[in-house]
Amino acid sequence: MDEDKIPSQRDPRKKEPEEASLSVESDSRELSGDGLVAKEKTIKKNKSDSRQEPRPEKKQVVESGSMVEATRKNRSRPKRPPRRKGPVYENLKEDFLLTALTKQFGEELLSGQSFLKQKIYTVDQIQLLEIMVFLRSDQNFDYLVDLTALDYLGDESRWCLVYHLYSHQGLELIRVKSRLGEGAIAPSVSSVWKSANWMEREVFDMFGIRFEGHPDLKRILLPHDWHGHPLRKDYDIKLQDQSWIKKHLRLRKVPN
Amino acid sequence: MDIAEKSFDKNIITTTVDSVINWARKSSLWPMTFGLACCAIEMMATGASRFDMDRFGAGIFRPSPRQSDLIIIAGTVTLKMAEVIQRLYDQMPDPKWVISMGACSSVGGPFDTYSTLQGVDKVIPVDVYIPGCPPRPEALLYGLMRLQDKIDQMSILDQKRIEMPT
Repeated sequence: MDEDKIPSQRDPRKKEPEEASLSVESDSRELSGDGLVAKEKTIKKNKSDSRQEPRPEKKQVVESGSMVEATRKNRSRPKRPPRRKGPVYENLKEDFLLTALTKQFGEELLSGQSFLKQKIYTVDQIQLLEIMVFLRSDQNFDYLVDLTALDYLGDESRWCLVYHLYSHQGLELIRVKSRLGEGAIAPSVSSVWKSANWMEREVFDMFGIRFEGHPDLKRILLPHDWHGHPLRKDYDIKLQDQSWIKKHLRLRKVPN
Repeated sequence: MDIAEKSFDKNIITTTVDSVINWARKSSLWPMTFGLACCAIEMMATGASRFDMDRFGAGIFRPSPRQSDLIIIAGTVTLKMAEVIQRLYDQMPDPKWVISMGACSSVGGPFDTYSTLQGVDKVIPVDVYIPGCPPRPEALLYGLMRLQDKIDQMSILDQKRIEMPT
């Protein structure tokens, strides 16, 4: 079958000289004298090669020709493609979990959003613990993946607690967010997921957010007598607790 | 020296006390088993068979500071760990030496933050600094050899100054 097809493929080769001459023309503007002759020779050589292997060589000639044409036509920079719109937050519609939540807890303090198909549920601090218990027991979110916080310095409610929950049964990963004012105390979910114990300690260590009902809320990473909470926006990135250093380290004078 | 050497039997050689003691010290450096970060992985590789720190007499990593002459600070020194390093250094018997391995322990490396000590020489005196992030095992071996050169120049009359706690 292939042998029959090869002659038919070779037929368009009659057009090849045209294409070759086109590329030579375009080259002649850039080259002159011996260079042009050399170019012609190489093209002839290509043609002789193309008899044995028609396909790839022909392609090459066409490509080089079109490339040169393109550069000749558009001397200026090619136009930028229109800027693509980034992903946006969208309100959740007809979401099973959101309807279950609103049925249980009312619509006033609940909202759901999606971002790149990731589901985010924003809840109020008052309902937080109850909702977490509901998600754990009724909706089978048995795994607290992560618990962290964000600092919106200057906002009315400064903190945002973020809970990542996973359901091994439903194979679903969701995010629960809850805003918290400065100085307010958040409910601890360490009674719902045991793993929340250390995560809340880390949030306390880094942000200074207190959790009510936590069994042992103390620093987990920094020394116990450290002053300040380093992940706060108003904590300088290089700031070190000099009083702690003075108390615990015997600093030497370093020769330059 | 020459006259003295020729006046004894064949198997008796004469030398100075310094060179004997220095030879003994530099040929049996016992480092402490102490690693802090990724540099420690290179240190382990240096101790293993491919690079074999034992060739230089420094392959016996001791599990206790009381048995070691050398502490290789291999990794990022946090402020919390600096306190421990200082205590470990105090527990080592004299004479003792310190190698600061890698950028982190020498100057803090990329971690110019709230938690990291900017150079271990702020808490303990360092004899040899090894650059690199992390240094290759060859670099550590070279640093070790430079430390041996340094030990070779010591004299019992001019002992390394012992830093006392303030």
